[in-house]
Amino acid sequence: MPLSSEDIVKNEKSIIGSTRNIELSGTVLLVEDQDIVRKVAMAFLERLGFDVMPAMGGNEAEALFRSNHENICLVLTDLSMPGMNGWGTLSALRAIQPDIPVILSSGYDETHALTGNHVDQPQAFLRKPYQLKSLKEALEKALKD
Amino acid sequence: MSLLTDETGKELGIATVAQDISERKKAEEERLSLQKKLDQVEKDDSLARMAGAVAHNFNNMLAAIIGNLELAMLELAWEHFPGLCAFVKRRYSEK
Repeated sequence: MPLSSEDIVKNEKSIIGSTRNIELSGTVLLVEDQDIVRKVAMAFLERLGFDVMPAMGGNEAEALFRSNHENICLVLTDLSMPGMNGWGTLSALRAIQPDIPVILSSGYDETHALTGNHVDQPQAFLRKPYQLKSLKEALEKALKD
Repeated sequence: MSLLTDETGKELGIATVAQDISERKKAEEERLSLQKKLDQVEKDDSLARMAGAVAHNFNNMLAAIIGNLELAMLELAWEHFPGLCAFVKRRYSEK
């Protein structure tokens, strides 16, 4: 028996989730050096109801954040990037606004990615590849505090 | 080993010095074995790092592939693809 389009709508609700305890809206600063990954992350975030401000690296993100941080509710950043990496970006942005929620994303597993002595820690870690559901969970976790 | 003589050149005897170097030999062997172990650890470490970097690249590519696939599935006008619908439904129920 094929799925009806109604089923798909229901299916989408179960993927994205219909209960919204935490407001999923506002502007997310998305920092990702790889075009194809950034495009997907952007589409995911927009689908969840966010506006997205994309940056291709840490330095661009820092400049964007400096002039727009009042409008940015969260930062989703990749870890491994040329130039300023995710940790450097995290510290630079927290220096501007100490309470900005940050999600750190990486193709390395969590233990590998989060090793090292870093003063500034992200609210959530998102392992790549991720699906819409995991992104939503990470966003909820990061915005809860 | 050296020949001992008096002031006229007359031979008096032979003097030898012997040293037990078994400790030194043992230490040298130990050093070599430790060096070998260290080489192996370094080899393992660089291999692990390479595997990690490959996995990292794969995961980035997978993020794009899986992400686009998921988006495509959400955007698809499913009513036009009953066969695909059935297939996806079957695959989901297998999980």
